[in-house]
Amino acid sequence: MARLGAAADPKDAIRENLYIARPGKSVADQIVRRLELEPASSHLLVGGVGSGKTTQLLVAQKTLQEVPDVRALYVDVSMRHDLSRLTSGVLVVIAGLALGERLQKSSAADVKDSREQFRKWAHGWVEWVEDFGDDREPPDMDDYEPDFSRPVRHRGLLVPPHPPLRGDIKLKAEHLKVLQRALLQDRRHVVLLFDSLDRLTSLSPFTESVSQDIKAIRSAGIGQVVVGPLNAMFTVGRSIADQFDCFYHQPSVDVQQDEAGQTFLNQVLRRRTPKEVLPEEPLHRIVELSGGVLRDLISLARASGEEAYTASAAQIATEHVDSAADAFGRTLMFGLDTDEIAILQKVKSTGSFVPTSDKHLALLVTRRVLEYGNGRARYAVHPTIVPLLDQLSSKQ
Amino acid sequence: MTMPLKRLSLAEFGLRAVARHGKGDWLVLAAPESEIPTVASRIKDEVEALGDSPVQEIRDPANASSFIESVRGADQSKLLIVSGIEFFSEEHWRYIDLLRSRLMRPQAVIMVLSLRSIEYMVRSAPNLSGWIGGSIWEADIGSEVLSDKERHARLQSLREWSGLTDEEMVYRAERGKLPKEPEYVEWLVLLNRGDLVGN
Amino acid sequence: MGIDDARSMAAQVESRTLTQSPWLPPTPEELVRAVRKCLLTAADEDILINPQYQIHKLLKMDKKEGRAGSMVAILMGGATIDKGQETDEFFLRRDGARISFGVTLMYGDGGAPGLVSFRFSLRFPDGVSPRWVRFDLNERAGDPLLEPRCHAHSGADCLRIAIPLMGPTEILGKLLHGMPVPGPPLS
Repeated sequence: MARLGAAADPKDAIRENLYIARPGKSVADQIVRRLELEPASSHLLVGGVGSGKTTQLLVAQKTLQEVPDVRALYVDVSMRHDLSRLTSGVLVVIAGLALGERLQKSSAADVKDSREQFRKWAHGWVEWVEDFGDDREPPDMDDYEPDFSRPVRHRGLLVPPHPPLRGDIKLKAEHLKVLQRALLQDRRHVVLLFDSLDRLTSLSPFTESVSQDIKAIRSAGIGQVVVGPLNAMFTVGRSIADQFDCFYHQPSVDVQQDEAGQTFLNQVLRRRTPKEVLPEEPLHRIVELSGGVLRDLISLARASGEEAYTASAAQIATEHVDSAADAFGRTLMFGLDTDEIAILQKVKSTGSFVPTSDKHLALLVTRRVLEYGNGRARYAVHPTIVPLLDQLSSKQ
Repeated sequence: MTMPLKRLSLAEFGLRAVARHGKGDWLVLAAPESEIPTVASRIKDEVEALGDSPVQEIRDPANASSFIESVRGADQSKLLIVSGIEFFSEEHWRYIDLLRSRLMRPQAVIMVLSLRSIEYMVRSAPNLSGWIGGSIWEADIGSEVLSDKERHARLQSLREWSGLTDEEMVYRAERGKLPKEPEYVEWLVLLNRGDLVGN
Repeated sequence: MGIDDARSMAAQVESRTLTQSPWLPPTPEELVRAVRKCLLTAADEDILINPQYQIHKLLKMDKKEGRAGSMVAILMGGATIDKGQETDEFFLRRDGARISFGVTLMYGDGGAPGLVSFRFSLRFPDGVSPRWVRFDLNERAGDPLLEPRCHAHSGADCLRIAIPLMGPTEILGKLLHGMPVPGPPLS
């Protein structure tokens, strides 16, 4: 059961050899191939909660690290900066800090200067400025070196809760180039992998970052992969995706129509749970009920294990899976209003779903509605809520 | 709210929490707002009684930032129980969700919340909710206490065993003439006549 | 030896067995937790075959007002009376034996809790002798020769053997791990 932590760090899963590549070309593969050809290209990756975006980013990083002249740096933006205060300049500064950390031993004056600049932009600094204003008191005439200066505190761009300092993006980009050139001298292309921006619910801070920072980082010849919000795919958001060289959508695995996908998910579970604990039939049932959402697959498997444990059963049986799925579905349906239930009922009965409103997008982001790619979008409600929707409609 | 959550006694919930292997496990227990402090304390007692997991409580953080910093700053070897965050609005939950990465820790976290707070969390913190998955139950607070149905069944069984009615049994107890067997003492307590115990 | 001597000696034995009281947790809730842990551990070790959720379901507690500001609590595990009925109200050992119990305690004003009475029943599967064993603590003393306050029965209500006063988890330990199913009766 220890290998079934739904909230476990994806880094651990990769390190413990639990990662299995999706059939066909995974997003990580596609990103890596493209970056090998165009090291300064920019990539946007979106997907629903629990679809495996961070894992793809980490796998891409691991693969790129094996390329001799590439240095891939993974950055969880939320660990460095309060995302509720994302503005332009933040990503460039984070990029500068990341590059600077790898040039600590450089003695070149311009590199040191650029590193210092990024440090200041990140964390703020105190500057003493001369002040000859009329309201100043006259200096003591006994002083041979009268002091007309006063401190001015420049707030850093990073670290809440102070409002960010809007810096000169161009100036930052120039300093970034200094650092990038220094790294290139060691024949190292830098690729930055920015994670956690998918959690932004409003597109405007993301748009602002994209329109300035992504361009600035790119102008410095640095490759970047950004995990962004799912609504970047739709309506106004779509123009955001167009600002990247490549766009990827990590959909759920179509467990109903994609046999290779089913096999893949079977393997993911089997890698973590032996047959003695999870026989084939309940394993298939978990795969079916997960709807192809990787995190839900792990979560349901763990919950099924718990049901078996409390029933003092030696193995997980289908009844344990169904009990776990019922609890899962209830939490997934928690707090839905009548409009949302109506949308879900419609998707369940017709498969029709047009994400036009915030409510529609919220259902997609929170995986009550699942999107399957395969070239042509197919929508379905999460399998764990299907019987509950049936119960609701039979009551009406 | 649409479908009721599955109900679990505090003891069973505690057992599930202890059975989690920890890394990044989040569990939520729903309780009426007025009962939350008591439920949180009882969960702590249950978990500690099972003997495997040391526990730390976080109660009444000042705001969402403080909540995040408290979780990050808590002893990483201990299971955490969080309560007293009923004042968190959807905005607070959205903020927490943005910074979800900062909440990753090696041991499990239990949140004791009202149903309304759970609704806010599910709506406004989808990434945190993704970690929680189906691990949300409603506390069945009184399940360890004998229900009326169970009490009646036991009384019936005692009457059949002894051949006495409740009134006959109480009559004898009031006169100090009740047989000494332990079943009669239980009978008195089930009839809410604890005053006659030791008579 | 005459009966009076026997009774006098039995009174001394009873006095010795009742001298030392077992330690009890200060609240009934803590006692419930300790008993529950005992049973769950036995289930984990496959001594008991009840699913965990059933162990939770079978263990019940109730508290009522007692005399003079005291509180009386009963802790019940499974059926009130075991007459061999075919129900699922028992803690089942893997070897077919089954356990049920009831404990009554009094919690005085600030004082240590005290055992008022208990009954722990262990019933063996068909075909063995004795058929059942029961550990009882009566509410009060009777004839020390025939009915010592704290006693064990072995297959017959009229046969009582004085035993030391033990706490609920101590008795459960004995019933779970220290009372194997006896062989069939000698023909």
